[in-house]
Amino acid sequence: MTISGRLDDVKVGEVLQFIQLGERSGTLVLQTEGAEAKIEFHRGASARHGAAVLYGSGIFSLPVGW
Amino acid sequence: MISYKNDALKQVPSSAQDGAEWARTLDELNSTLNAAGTLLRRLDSELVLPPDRSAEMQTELETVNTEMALVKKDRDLLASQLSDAVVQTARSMNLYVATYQLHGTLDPEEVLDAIAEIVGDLIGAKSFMILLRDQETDGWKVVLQEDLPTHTMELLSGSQYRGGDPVIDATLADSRLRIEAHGNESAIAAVPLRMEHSIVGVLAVFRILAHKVDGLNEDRELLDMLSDHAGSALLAAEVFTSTRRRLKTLDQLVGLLPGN
Repeated sequence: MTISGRLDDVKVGEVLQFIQLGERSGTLVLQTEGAEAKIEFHRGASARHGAAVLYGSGIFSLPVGW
Repeated sequence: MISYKNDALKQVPSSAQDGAEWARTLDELNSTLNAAGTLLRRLDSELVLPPDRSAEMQTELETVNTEMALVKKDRDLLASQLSDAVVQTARSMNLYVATYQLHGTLDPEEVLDAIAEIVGDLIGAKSFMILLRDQETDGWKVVLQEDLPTHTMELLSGSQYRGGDPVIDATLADSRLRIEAHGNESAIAAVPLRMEHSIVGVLAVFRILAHKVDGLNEDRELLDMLSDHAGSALLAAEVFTSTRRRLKTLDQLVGLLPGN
């Protein structure tokens, strides 16, 4: 299952909260025009992430369940 | 008065018998002539010529001619009013169709298509563009353009309007609709797209079809309608689309919670 959306519509913190509350595992990908960040989760906890700085609006995608 | 003379009646009869017959015939003839004369005199006395009505008839003729002229003038006025009514009906129909098109969809792309159709088909613009306020940059971005003249490229930086057209800039400043008789290289019309009392965009027209001799003045009602409805229709469609998208995103996130 993959969910995706625009960061205009939802804050990154809210996405992280849903992942944590749902104890989900997967990779959250955050993209803007100039940057991309990936955060891996295991049972709602951050397992690994790549450093990135996001400016302005962007999109996120989250393949969940592996 | 009638007189009759016949020399043949004075011929001498050839015998006494003939003479008597001649005399009798002559008496009958005289009697007949007298009766005819009496009748003619009576007719003469009874004959009454009609009064001379030529002056009266001339007056009546002039009156009829005057009334005919008035009737003709009224007829021409009615024909003109009928023609105006037909034109007004066509304009009202156009306004109805245009308004229906603008508010008949909540898809921003379809609203833009409807605006382009109104501007191109009903107003007869050949070259135009629509600017909308860019929330991110607080500038003005081109969301629709059609056959723009080469010089307008100097006004744009990518999809952003940099300014420089005096007609467009004036309308962006005071939100007033402008129609210029001679645009030279500037826009010949700038229509503010208003939402309530604030301006959310501008329709700028650079060229119109050649057969529109009165320019854009004859389409003032359509332009006013666009000014009042196009901006709100576009914003409503964008708000609807973004709200639906946000709802879909939240639905997906809620699906991450336990039990889903």
